[in-house]
Amino acid sequence: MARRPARSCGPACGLAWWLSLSVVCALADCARGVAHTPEVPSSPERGAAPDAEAAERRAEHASGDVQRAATRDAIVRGAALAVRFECTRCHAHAELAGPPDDANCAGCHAQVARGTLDVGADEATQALWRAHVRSYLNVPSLTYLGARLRRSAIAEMVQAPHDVRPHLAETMPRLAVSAAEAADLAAWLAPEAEAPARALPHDAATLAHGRQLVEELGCGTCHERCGEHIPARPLRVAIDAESLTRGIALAPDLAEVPTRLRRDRLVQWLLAPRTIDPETTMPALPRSRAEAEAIAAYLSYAPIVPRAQPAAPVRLPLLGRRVTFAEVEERVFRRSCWHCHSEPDFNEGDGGPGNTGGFGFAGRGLSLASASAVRSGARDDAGLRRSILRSAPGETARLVEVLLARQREEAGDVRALRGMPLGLPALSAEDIQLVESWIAGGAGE
Amino acid sequence: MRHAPRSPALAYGRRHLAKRLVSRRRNARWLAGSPLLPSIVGVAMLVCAAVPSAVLACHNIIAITVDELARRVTHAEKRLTEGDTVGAVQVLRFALGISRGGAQGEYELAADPRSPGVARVRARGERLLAVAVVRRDGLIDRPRLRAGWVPDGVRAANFVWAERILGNARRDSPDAPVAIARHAEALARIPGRSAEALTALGELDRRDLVPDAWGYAVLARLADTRHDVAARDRAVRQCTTLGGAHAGAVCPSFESMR
Repeated sequence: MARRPARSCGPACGLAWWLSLSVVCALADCARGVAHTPEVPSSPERGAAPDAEAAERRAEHASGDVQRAATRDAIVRGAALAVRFECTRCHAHAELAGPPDDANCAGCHAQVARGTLDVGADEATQALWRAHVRSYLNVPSLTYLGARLRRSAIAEMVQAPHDVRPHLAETMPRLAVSAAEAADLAAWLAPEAEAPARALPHDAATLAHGRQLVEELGCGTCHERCGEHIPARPLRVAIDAESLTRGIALAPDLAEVPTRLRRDRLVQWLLAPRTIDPETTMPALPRSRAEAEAIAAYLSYAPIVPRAQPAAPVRLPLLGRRVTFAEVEERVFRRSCWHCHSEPDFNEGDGGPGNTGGFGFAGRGLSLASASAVRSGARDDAGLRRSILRSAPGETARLVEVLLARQREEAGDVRALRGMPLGLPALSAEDIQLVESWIAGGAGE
Repeated sequence: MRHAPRSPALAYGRRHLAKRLVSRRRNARWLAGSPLLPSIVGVAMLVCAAVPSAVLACHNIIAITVDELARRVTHAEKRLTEGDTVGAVQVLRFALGISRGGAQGEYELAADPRSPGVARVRARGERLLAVAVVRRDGLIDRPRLRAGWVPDGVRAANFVWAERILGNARRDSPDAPVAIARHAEALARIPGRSAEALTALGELDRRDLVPDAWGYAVLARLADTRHDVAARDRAVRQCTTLGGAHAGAVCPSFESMR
């Protein structure tokens, strides 16, 4: 696997680096050390034939050029792609109809959490579900995303998702999106041209003032900025508990500001966020334009302190006892895998994205709902069914490979093989040990 | 929020249910005060609970928890996997009875068979019944959904029926190992077709895709009839591994192995 060179932004970057307006710095995802760029052969941006649009986006990033208005064709293509990739399974968008109830991941989880999912379950069952549901309770809406985010940042996020929100366990799933498709989706979400932004003063005194304001106004209640410690001071405005919980969950890492946010909207976003996104929970904190500009300067130009990067967990040895399928099902398959790899017979033919297809993926035919289904394997890229449990001596079964891949992805090592569960936290080393031990014991009942 | 029924057929089923219950109320005044009333009310409540939900959100997790029909079919499948064929048929008696629409008296109200959701679960139940017929050596009274003695002619017809049902399932999902293995089980019981069964299961075995202990049990028996002791013993070992705690009820044992 070829890693993209590290774009480290530690103290070694130095004063000259950040004074040279190198906004690319923040792209380095704090101290992850590697960019989240999977090897996707079909992707023109990553492959041998970069397309003009991708090159343009990179140039835009590097030079700080403003984005131009998206073409009508790109917007139309992007809207169609949003349907194809089923963005509304998780995200809301005012222009798109919501998905059917049985494909509405975020909607279903929200109803379970509120206790309003009316499917005839008794109170005890609903309480059990409520206790289990942790993911997709807070998902950003797409409706006003493009009003504050740069198109290039959206495209990069769609094609090579990385963890932007430190308090949110789930991340944008790695979909099979080409560079051209990512550009079209971003054009649909952020069609407008960016106005030239007035250069902000960014002398040392301004940056120090901005840093002080970030702390004083309580930005640290919700936000982090890589490895920098921002104390959580009380907010100076009242905010209800539900909005605060949602705000903390969705608050992006402030180190992403230089590359993610539109430069022409940054100060306005800080001053009056609801004028840009009426749905946001972000409160208006600065007391004056001068304060907002100082904060914007600090977020745009101050060097980023690296964050300690957690390593992937150590792989545990096989258990010295027989593991039954019931055990693996209870602890692993039933908790998260089943959602995307289920039995189509019980859902009018829809076995989930990992079985009958969805999220833009072709059906792999993989159900994890029973031992016999797991042993039935999955279709490979050529459409040939293969075992996900078989392994040659010295090799690892495909099922375990994808689980380990997700642990690696969380540690910043992103490869061609998609980690599972897609977009959800990796399984613990103990859970993977259980799966591996079940396979080693013959994968029986 | 109450989800709107996705399927017009299910909506029809619910309206139909309400209408029929009202009309029967008029005709059933004689029941008032009858000692049968509590039982009838109980059955009616059970039947109402068995109406498959229009919302099968979150796929299997919710479906199997709240949908009585799906839950019973899954239960029957589990019994079958464990080698309890009679128990599986008992569970299927209710599951298939309520989903046949019209054949079971009051049960007709439970589920509209034209609903695509019900049809799929019912088809799965029928496949399970076909597997049970094969594993029970054809000794199942299919119209009454009971395991027991049947005349030889009925037994032969049962095998033909099971092969047709499982063959159709294989045609619908030609690369699904479960469908292939179960069809092979049926083929192995039909005179002159065991070679087809051996080919199908052998191919799955070569690709490590035999889905369960039952597939290896059939392979072992087929290998034994061909006097291929090595293949037979290997298949029995695999069957024992996959069968786990239920291997005793699933895997064959042979004289020479004892």
